[in-house]
Amino acid sequence: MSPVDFALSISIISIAAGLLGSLVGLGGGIIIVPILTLFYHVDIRLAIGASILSVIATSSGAAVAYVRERLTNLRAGMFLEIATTIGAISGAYITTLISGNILYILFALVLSYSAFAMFHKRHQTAVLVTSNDKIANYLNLHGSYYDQSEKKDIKYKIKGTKIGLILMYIAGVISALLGVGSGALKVPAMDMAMHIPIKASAATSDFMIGVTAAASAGAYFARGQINPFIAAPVAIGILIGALIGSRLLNKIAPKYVQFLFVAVLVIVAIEMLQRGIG
Amino acid sequence: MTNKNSKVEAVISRVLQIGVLISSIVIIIGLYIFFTHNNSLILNKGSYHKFTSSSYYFPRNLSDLKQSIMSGEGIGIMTLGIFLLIMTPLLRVATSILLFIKQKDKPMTVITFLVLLILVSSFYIGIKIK
Repeated sequence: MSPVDFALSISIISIAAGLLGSLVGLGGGIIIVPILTLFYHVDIRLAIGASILSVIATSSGAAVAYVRERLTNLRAGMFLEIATTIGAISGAYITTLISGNILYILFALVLSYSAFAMFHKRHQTAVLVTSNDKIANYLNLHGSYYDQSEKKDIKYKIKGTKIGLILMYIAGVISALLGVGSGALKVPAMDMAMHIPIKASAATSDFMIGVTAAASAGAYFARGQINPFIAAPVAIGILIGALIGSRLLNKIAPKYVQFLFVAVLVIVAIEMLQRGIG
Repeated sequence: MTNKNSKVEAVISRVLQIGVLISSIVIIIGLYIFFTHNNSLILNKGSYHKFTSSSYYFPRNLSDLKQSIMSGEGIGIMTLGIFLLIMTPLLRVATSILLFIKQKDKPMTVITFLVLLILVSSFYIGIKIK
């Protein structure tokens, strides 16, 4: 394959990755990494470098629309970013303590559990109308958005901010260690622990993953893991995909977003398990 | 409260849009130069593997990057675009601080300021310790 064909084909695949990633609140890394390593025989370290950039591209590209439509809960997102960024910093030190394989397997187990739990509660879509969570009330982290598929305003309250912070810290650690946006952990944390509606969870996760990834991007850049020949076409494709995907999410019924997310979780869990064993 | 908030949302959305637009334009210019200028005929012969192998050199610190851009290399301009894309979330956080200060929202100002502080130091530590 010639260099031009490589750049063109990888950017087209990245459009699909950006589209899916923006819809479910994940970076496109889950598609980019296996395709780069399995089909293009790119070194895993460079694939992960491209993945970190794809997370930033998905996040910024999708957030343009999500923030404007208020699907992103800005205040909750920024509040939780404290935990994810501290997690990302500590991740850099933890790398030396835990072996990568164990981490992949642990991550796979957590994701399988989330997939199971989210599938189990798929019929409960009622939003929280009151909350006695002191932090959420003090900072006014509650949100509202207009749901285009249901054609109505959704006003929701938030609870479980403390458990949310803990889960986001873990998500930040994993993000730094494995080069993923860890939206796979952020969405269930917001959806299940904090009662943020699934679409708002996905959009807020998309908003946050860019900051988490940017926190560790400096190290990836300095280590020479972000090869522009690979990362540049990936970034362009992802941005196009995320711009399209972020215009679709609000039009899709919440239950389909949930199904899509659970399906993606299962795939990511299998992928992480393979990396842990392989 | 609602009005103020929707203004915050409009500004942040616009900042992200500008960041994404500028970085993608720079990346596309870089890609164009990479594939069409200088020794592009030699570049496009053979397999792409020479660019994805670990021996292929590209800028990985700021002084190399500067030099590469100055000599008009496509790879340097692509790296600059990538760098701008990485900076976009930072710019977004910095903008939010200003917006919360303007709204006199003290707790959120402190929170976003902390996020920026952690983000910048993590980025810096990352570059230093690799």
